[in-house]
Amino acid sequence: MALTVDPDQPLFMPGDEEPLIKDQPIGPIGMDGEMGGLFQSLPANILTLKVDQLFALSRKNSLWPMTFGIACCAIEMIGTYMANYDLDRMGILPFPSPRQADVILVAGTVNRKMARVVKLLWEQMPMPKWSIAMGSCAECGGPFYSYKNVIEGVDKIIPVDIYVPGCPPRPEALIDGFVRLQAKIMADAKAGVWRKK
Amino acid sequence: MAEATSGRSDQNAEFMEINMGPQHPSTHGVCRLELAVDGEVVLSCRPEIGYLHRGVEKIAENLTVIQLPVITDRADYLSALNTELGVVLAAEQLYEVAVPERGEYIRVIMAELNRIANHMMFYGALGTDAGFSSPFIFGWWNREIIHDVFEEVTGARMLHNYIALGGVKQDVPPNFKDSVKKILPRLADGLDRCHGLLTDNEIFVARTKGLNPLTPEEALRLGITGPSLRATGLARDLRRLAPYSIYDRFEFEVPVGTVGDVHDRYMMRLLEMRESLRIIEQALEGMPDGEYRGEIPRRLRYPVGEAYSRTESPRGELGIYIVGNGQNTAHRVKIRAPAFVHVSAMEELLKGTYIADAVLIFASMDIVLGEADR
Amino acid sequence: MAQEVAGSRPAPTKESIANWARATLEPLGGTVVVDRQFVEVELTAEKLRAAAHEISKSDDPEFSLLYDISGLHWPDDGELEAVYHFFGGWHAEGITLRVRVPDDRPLIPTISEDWPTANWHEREAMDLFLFEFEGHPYPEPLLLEKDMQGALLKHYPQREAPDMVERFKQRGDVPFEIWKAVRPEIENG
Repeated sequence: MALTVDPDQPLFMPGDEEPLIKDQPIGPIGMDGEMGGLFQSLPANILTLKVDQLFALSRKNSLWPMTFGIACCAIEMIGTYMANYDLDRMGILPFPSPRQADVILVAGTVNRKMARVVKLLWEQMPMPKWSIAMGSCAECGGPFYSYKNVIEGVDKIIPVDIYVPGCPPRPEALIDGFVRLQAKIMADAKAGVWRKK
Repeated sequence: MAEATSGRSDQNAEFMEINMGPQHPSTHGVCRLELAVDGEVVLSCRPEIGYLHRGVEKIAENLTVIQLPVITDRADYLSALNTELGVVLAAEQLYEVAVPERGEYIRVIMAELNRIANHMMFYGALGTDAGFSSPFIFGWWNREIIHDVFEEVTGARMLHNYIALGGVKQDVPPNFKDSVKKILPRLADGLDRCHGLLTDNEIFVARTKGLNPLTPEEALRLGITGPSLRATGLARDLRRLAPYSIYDRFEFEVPVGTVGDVHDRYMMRLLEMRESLRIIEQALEGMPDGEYRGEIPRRLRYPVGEAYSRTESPRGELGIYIVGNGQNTAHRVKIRAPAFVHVSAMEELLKGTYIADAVLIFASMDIVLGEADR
Repeated sequence: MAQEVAGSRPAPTKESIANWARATLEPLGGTVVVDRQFVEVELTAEKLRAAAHEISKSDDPEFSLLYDISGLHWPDDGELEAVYHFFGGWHAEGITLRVRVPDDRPLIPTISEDWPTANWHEREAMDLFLFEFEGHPYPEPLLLEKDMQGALLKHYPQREAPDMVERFKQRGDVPFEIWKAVRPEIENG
């Protein structure tokens, strides 16, 4: 029986009451529509993926953000790592060195002095890397937009994948941001998109 | 981020310059310490801040007095309610507004809860810097208990914008007394667990006892206030010395240390948390019914004049200086941040220590860069 | 030690500080004002150093804490004002010094020899208000970069609030049609 689960959507979308898989045997995931015929002849517990999708699947389940809390959003970020809203269950482990990190989670206001640091850290991160702008300061300057020292959003310095709004965003919002980043990683892999820089 | 260059000092010995950059694993914020080290010993330290300078004071000159707590919250984001209290006290001095009893009691309860939350974060950060992993989780578990109460009352977990001119912005929900009464024993139990984890821990004691002792004169000369000053032996607490709000009605002790080393500074904050629990209990019993916000004038122009309010924030002594000149917005709002002075004291405190100890000393002063940079 | 002293002496009051200020600081050229929150002494820039020295070595009343150095910009008078707040180590009273200097030549002598904490406060005032503290041991920018100094002066510009419609059009990642559906009051974008 063909399983119609889309690989670029996580299995449980936030806000859904029921999972997308309803009354279906848990079978192979990640199949393309064209290969449906092949699947009907395979037993369960066999995955058929493109290589990109396999790498994306393993990367998205083990994203290591760099601990880069700048300001108040850092406190909520730390709260999301802690026991109440555990991010470790999603494979997300904060790691201080940029060389070993996958995601840069810019939490806080970026001003001119800090912008050089952010840019340097971004360049020090090896590919593949993603970035999340957390909080309204990192997205658009936040409540401090009128001060000339503040950079209006970290996307003026580094490319940003996911924006998590809030001042500061609730831990649930940050978890939602990570879930969407995971979905984006899988979708990019399915579409064959690589970030060039 | 460590960029090391080697150089030669006058005595023909080699030293290395290490940059404890704005991004480092300890979670104190974006402060940069340029250390000149000889092996493991720090010869000199030059702290550099400004990585979080967002112009809180400049933006405060665009805001009315109702909007002012919104932006000053973000200065010291870990003890937002205490900063709000300081700002609002200065504004009330200027506007000459009276605060009703219920408003005062609610303010004290929220400020003391915030003090406990802040010290729990300090506990976690100090434990992490000493090399442990559990204290952070213990501290945050207790913080989350308090965050639930904050969310019920003010609507936000952090950065509440709740204490306002004349009292508090809105009344507490009807089950406020019960919810706070329920968390007090949980917090006391959490505090006991925190004590049990670190206070007599061999490794922690070996790392922190005897590290960086200070005398009260040295501390005052460097401008250190707050729990770090009380650890040196001087019983200076603004809630006792120059009581503001209704702190003179509560019975609480001011814990005082002996040596002023890192272990004493840590103990001060843990003992303070217990005193805060006592204050909250007494405030809950004494809280009357009535108005939660006093009469504020309809046209909120700042009166011409100045007001300086000093409060005991969990970090030290917070001074708020508001200058009004008859307009809707203030002429100047100056935040005297204790963290600013403590970071400047790092230059002297970190001389002659090991690098690992330097991290601990920095953590023990409980610095938040949002306040230091404003 | 301060703790023993605290027990043995009565704490100074505002009047006793005012009397002491009149006795010690007025001969140096300051004017004592008493009807504000703390005792205030208004000085000229040249007398500041001697006054700060007197305050630091005074034993009764004792002042051990320099709380802050605030800058104030009065563009109508064309003057910059520096306000120094001193408070006692074991008592609750304080004294304030005020210095006014002209806008275009804001020279004030440093007090960082008697008061080590003044070092950073003066650097901050230099950054934000373009003060010049003569004799400062390390007059480098603390908070701002060199091209942005003077940020708290009244004439320093601030950014205007962005036009969100233009922003969304430039951004391009959220299709404008979707945004218009969410905000139906935008008629002609």
